[in-house]
Order: sequence, then C-alpha cells, then structure tokens
Amino acid sequence: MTDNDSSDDLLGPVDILVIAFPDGSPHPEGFASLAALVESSTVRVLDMEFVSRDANGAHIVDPADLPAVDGFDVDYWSGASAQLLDSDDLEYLTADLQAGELAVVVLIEQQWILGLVGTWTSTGARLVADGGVPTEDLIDALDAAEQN
Amino acid sequence: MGLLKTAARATVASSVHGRVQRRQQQKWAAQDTASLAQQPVQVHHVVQAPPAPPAPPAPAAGDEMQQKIELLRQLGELRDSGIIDEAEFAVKKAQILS
Repeated sequence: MTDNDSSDDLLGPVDILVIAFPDGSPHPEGFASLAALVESSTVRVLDMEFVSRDANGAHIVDPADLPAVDGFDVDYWSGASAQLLDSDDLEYLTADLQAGELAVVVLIEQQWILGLVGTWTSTGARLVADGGVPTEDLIDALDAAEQN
Repeated sequence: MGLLKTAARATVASSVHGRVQRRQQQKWAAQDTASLAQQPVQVHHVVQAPPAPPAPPAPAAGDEMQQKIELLRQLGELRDSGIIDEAEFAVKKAQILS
C-alpha cells in the first residue's frame, strides 16, 4: 500500500479543547493563534462549536450570532463545524459554564507529528509504536519510580 | 507493567480527513489533505490510545496454555492482516509465552 490515497489516511493525535469566555464574546487573540497553527499545518481543526448555557442546558451558538469582535474573523471560523459533537458531548463539556459565558469547543488534530514521522520514514525508518499517555498513568509511574 | 499499561497499538484511520471535510464548509472543506509524510509508506496511524479494556477473568490453572495458544492465534491473525508487523509480533509473542 504505497499510494497516498484517502484510504491510507495518516491521522495525528486528536485532542479536545474547551475555552470559556466569561464576557460572552470570543477573544480574538487565541483564534488568531489557532489560525496561525492551522495555516502552518501544525494542527487541523476537525470540528468547532460555540456553546452557551441557559435553563434548558447547553446549546450551540451560530457563529453569525456571536457578538462582533474586532479581530475575530467570523467568516474564517464559521465553516469549521463538522457536527461530530452531539448534544450529550456538549452538555458534558460545558457543564461548568456560567450564564452569560460563551464557550468554544475545538477538536484539534496534532498534524505536526505526521511531518516528524514522515521525516524519519522517508529515510527508511519505520514507525513501530505510538499512542497517548493518560496523565494519571504518568503520575503513577513517577510515584512508583520515586519509591525506588 | 510500567508507564504504558494503557497505551495501545495505533489503528488505521482510513479516510478520516476527507470524511471530516465533507461535513465542514467553506475553506475547511477545501483544505489540502495531502499527508506531510515525505514518502508514503505503510505505517500504523498515530492515534490517541483508547481506554484499556476490562481485564478478562483469570483462567483456571489447566486452561492457561489453551489461553496462550488462543492469544498466539489471534496475534498471528493481526500479523497476517498487516495490523502489526513481524517485530511487534515477536515482542508480543514473547510476552504471551513468558
């Protein structure tokens, strides 16, 4: 399988990020940083939703309905939603969101790892193993190591 | 076992980018999906380790060898289907038989 077709898709680690804006408006600085990461192929944004809460729980906010903020490019971000996060996901992720706050939920792929792996595989090296490490396991390992 | 008790083998993530992009709009739907790899090779894809599955019940003493044989058979299937390579097969086989 040597063709770089869609069936041989390389996927970097995928993380979820939930950022709350206490004043209910998107803060443009972080979105500019995220855009720079996307444009430099460091990360891919696989999904993005703006969320707020009311008495009925979490609900999605259309980017077009967000307060206009200087430096926040609504047009750039409004197509990023892939509707992969369902209402249960959003309820869970924004459970601590206060009334009046706005949250953005972002599904981010760590694309840069693919370039790193590719640099090695292009010289004949082979990816043998990879995976995420839960923080609790790292702490357990440190605890065990420090007892020796 | 040490730090990596819950790390798992990466799995093939076929067509993920295309499938995601078809659900996105505007510039996101038109993103370049070309891999950054210099040379397309058959590699295991880089994904987050899923949560560890629940541990199987402990086998009765007489069943231990049968269990090992079954694990080796499944391991061979993983190798034959290309999900793991010979090196990984050898490592896992040694672990099963230890």
